[in-house]
Amino acid sequence: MNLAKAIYYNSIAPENISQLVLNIIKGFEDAKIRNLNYFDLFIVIPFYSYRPAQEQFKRIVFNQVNSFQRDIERNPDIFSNFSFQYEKSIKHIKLGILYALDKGLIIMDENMDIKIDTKFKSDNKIIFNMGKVFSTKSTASLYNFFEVDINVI
Amino acid sequence: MMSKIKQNALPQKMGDVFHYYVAIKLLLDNNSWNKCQIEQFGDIALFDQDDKQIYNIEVKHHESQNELKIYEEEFLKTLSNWFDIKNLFNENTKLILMTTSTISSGNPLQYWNLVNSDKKFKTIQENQTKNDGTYYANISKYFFKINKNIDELKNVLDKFDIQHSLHNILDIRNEIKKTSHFRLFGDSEEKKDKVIGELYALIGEGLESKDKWEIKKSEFDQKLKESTALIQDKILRTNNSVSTKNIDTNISSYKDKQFIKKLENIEFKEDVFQSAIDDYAKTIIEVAERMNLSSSLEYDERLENYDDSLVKLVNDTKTKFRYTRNLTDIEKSQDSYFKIMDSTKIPFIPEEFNDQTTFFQKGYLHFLADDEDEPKKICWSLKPEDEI
Repeated sequence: MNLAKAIYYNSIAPENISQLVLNIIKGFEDAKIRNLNYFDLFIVIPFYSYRPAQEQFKRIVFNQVNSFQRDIERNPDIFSNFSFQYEKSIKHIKLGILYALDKGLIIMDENMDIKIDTKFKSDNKIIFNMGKVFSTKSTASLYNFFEVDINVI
Repeated sequence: MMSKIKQNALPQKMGDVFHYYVAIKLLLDNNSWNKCQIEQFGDIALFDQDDKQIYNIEVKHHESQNELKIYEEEFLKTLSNWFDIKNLFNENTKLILMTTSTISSGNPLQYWNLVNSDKKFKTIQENQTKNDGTYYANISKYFFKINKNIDELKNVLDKFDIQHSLHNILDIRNEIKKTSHFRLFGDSEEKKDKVIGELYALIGEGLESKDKWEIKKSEFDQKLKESTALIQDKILRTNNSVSTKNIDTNISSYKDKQFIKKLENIEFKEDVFQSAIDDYAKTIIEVAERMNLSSSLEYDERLENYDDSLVKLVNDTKTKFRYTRNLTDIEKSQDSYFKIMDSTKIPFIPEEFNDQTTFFQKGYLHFLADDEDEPKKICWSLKPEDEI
């Protein structure tokens, strides 16, 4: 493998993905609307890796009224035209989740809801806020909105 | 006095350009198409997934004000052309005459789109003669050839709509800028113009041969997707982005690495090693920075493409030097190496980065040369024994 690829694979290493997962859980916890589900992660993490979305979330000032509807559905030009390369991301995300489970950072119940099981302070505001906003919509509606077939996961 | 050029082809060209803009607007406004063909089955034909024509469009552009009349070629020839290819249509196909001509109040075509095929047929029949009772020339030329089979003609008429009083070229560009996709760019006319320019080019690129002019939805969408990258400012990378203070660039630290051995193999000396090592070391830092900046989850395929482009650059250049006369193999290899290093830059993930560095591509080439899993992927030597 060439060095650039090695650096790339390191950047998407399970450990790094697991940190994203923890930040998302923190966002869900902060919003106190619903638990994070395993399947949410395959939407939120690719969304985070779409740079215009990152830029948009950098700009949003967060307060009580932020919601998926307000921040994403009403900006269809930025988000709904975009198709994620899910197939590519899925593998990395699964490894990241497994890593977090294996290290005991998170626990997953029989409904595949995920909770944090470690002391963790959010260190990535952008994905933390994405977690907050995505928690205002059910997992099924997220899959519908982004037109993703849940069976590919 | 300057004499006037008699043959001015501009009006015709304006018609062509107008035609492309109409195509862009159509492709933006519709989502159910899969491919678009130009000038094959009419001016513009849109097909769905199953290769069924969903739209067949005739575009007419007039430089000056013109009233659309039933007995004129614009209308009758269009109808006759559609009649000739009626077997290509199915029940859902829409046939649209898009024209800059106007339909004023009192024109028999005023309610054309609102009436059924019987009424459309009747409208043509009622307007086929001049005041003196004789038939208009175009009626004899076109209509009489197709009105034998009334049922089939009515089938075509049923699908036939007119969009009239369309805008001129400048106006249609503005119309395109009002479509939802372009709202992304806010007030930035410059970015909007750039995207329109790219879509226009895409229409042109679809022309492959005298028999094929086709635009695929996947390519069109890809272009749109790339254009959304314009809403973000690219990340500017310059030589100053990399601090060289803490980088080890001693030749001794690198002498066992494969990329140095490959340089040694074509009899380069320490001066070339040093410059290669500098580029290599800076590129390590720069790659790590770029991978941290954002969206690296999706870099996978794009990294592959970048690798492939660099490999092609190397191979193409080497091929050229292989055929150079009067040089030894070592001289060819060395000249080809310098030529490769001085080549025009291939953009690295161009949607994200504005790469203004002088070292990145060179360093990256050494990364590839250093890949121990694929030692043959990039090597500089043109010696026959190294190329087997």
